[in-house]
Amino acid sequence: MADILDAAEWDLVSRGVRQRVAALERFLGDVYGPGRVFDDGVVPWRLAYTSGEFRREVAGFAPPNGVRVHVAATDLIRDEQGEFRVIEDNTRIPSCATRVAGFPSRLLAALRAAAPQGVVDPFVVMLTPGAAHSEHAAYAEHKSLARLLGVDLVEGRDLRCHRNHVYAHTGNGRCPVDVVYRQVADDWLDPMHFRPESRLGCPGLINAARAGNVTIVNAVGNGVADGRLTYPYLPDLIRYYLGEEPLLGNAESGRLPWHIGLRAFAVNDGRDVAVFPGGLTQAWERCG
Amino acid sequence: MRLSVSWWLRIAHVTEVSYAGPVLTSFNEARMTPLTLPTQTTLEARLTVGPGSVPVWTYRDYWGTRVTSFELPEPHNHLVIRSSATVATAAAAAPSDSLSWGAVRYAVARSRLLEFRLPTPLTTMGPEAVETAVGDVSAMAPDDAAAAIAARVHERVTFLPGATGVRTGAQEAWDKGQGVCQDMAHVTVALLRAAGLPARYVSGYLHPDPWAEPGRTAIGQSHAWAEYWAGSWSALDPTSLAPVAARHVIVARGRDYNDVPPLKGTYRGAPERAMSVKVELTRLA
Repeated sequence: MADILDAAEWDLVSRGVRQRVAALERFLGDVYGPGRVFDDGVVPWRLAYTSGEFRREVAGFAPPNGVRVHVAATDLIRDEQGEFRVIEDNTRIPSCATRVAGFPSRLLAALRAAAPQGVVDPFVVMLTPGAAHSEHAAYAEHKSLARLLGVDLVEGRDLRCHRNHVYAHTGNGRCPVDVVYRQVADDWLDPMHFRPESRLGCPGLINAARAGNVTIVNAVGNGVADGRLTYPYLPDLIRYYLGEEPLLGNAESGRLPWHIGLRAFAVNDGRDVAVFPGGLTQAWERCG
Repeated sequence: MRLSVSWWLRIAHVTEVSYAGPVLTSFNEARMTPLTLPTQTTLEARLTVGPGSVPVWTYRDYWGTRVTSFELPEPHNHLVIRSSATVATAAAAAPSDSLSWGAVRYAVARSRLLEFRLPTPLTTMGPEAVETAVGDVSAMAPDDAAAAIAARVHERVTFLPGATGVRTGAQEAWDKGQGVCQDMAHVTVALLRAAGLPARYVSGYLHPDPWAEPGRTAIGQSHAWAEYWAGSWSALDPTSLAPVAARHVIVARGRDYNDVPPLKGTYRGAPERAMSVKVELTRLA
């Protein structure tokens, strides 16, 4: 990575990503809570109300350690002046194809820290759509990450909800589940609340989370924070929630240079956000 | 001073579903418990599920509705939900001074009211129907426009059970000219929004008899009507055209039916064979 950016630049990128994730986290807590940012006129109500990713099903209850963005991916490019700028955030299901030292252990720590109140040794599972419903590379990635994290890889049919608790039926019998690190999109997660025909999730999951008995990682409804509609407001959200100037600017649309970009992963355990370099991306392909 | 016309109503709402064969892992939510509001007090409410005694869990959803959630993990051939409530209702408060169209527009653009101003799939109507139905209402005051819309919907859509289903949208009901209270409420909500007013869909009950004697039980049904905002929320019942007052019991309010279904669920197993709903309404006082 040395020829792409130096240590001082990485320091700025990692602080900037940390700041950005902190603002996105506060924004999501506000969207699914009091809605101050709308009442104060910083972001129009229209943004939430016209977003297909605003999930009213999860409004009004907070996740156990307050974290909704446990893992995020931020894509950056260098602009014509050589400054790094953010082109996209992913607070939903970032593909964690990074093997940077320290990342998996940090992610596992964040998953465990997300467990419901009072759980001492949480049971974490990784929920995949399965080989038949994932791209080949994505499913291979799920298998390898689960192995790296040391958690069970399960599919919807392996999970059962009962009285607002979730159980996994694995090779080791029936285990109560505390944290579901899901690779299944919101729409497919719980046929009781979302797409009724879905077999990729588990009916009862949302109400188990509402009851505080299981944590879904990343939280349901995060898509309202990382879409094209919210992106232009990020600098304002950083000023509004954190009272700071943004360390990383947005890229001006239509002026994207023909330049290789950088992906950064952020992992939030509720106490601290750790940022890891996630490799290079081909920015021009992503932005057209 | 006017006498406050208040009713005490007892509601017994029984829903029975039977299946063509065994059903398992059934997860459901009922939205049947009346709200407590300035114009309505729920004195007592109870919801039980069978066969047997199925544990239930309640929460309040985004719209403020009391939701009862339950599951039936064991194989079963039928399902029965008994919801009962005692509610004190009151005549609607006299509407406060309503705003001008411009003032409504200004308020809507800057507040949560916008959520009730935007169309949903069930409350989207095409430009032709909108022009026919509300093309001329901007010349009226908002309250008069809303009353005219309800009257036009009542005239256009004939009450005919079976003509539409729970998934029928406003445009389809308008084109058909037939439907039930749900359809009339959807068309009314759609047209109120098209005219520029925030509007919401209300799910509840209506006692059929304005002169009901206390103690006598009447057969009623689930009912739906509409509310609009022109400075404060006011209600309209396009099905009965009766004032929304002591005979109406409010259970839930949302953008359309999909936000407030009395019963929804998911299960594995045999298809549904029959569903029967019985609503008994008794004026107690």
